[in-house]
Amino acid sequence: MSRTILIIDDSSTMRKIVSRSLRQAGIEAETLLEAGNGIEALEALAANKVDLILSDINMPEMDGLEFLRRKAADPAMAKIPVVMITTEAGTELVVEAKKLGAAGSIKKPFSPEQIEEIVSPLL
Amino acid sequence: MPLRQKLIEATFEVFDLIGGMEVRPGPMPPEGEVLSFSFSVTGMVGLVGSRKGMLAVHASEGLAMALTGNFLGLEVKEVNEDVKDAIAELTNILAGCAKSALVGAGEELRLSLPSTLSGKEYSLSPSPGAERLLVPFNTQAGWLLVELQMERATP
Repeated sequence: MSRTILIIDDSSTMRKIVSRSLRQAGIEAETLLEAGNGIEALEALAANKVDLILSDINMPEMDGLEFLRRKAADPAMAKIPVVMITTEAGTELVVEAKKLGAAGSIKKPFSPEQIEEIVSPLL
Repeated sequence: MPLRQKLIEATFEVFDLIGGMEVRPGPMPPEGEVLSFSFSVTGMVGLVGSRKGMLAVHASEGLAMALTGNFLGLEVKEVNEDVKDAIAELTNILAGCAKSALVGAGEELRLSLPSTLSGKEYSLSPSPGAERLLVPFNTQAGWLLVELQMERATP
């Protein structure tokens, strides 16, 4: 099945690590899109049909929480599941992300197995 | 669990899960207020809120390049933007660990975005009055030093 996954992180290194972990977890994406912050992510969503989003929280320009707010306000993208990938697991930021509609969260660093456990049920 | 031990375990976890290399505790740097580095890369993340602080990760260029190569799955031959980004992300992860521990102890803290510096020779002085925790490591590719500075808690 053709799938498009969007990875949002201001670190190009972490975007590559997430991409590799998805492959190692057996989660194949026909198209893998990358964005460096929430603004770039909204632009990517406006131009592409995306099935799943993996997003950092702490980013410049527009952080992951503001991205969730803007996404939720747009009916065309509101239902796309978002998994937060963050150094701040268990903190108030993750609680806030879940209130804003995040489907789950993964703590950095992570194993491909942890990615598979959270991401597979959403595809 | 003491903060030092949490930083040791978090560093082991990063190297094990995504770093692809073995890391072990290393020798403490020479006594002194000023830390001096040669051919090194440093990442820094600020902690702000109920107390001010900073978490820094200092790495030898050899380790920084090897770790970046393992993160990205390619050979890295110079300290370029990929290396700075990788050390920044490592710093970010360890700062998240420090923040979680300190928030668990009752602090209210936020993390800044990471920044990096690198070069042949540079020195860093601690903030006046800050408590400093140094956690050294060694790997086959070079050394790593995790540094946490926190403003002293007001009584």
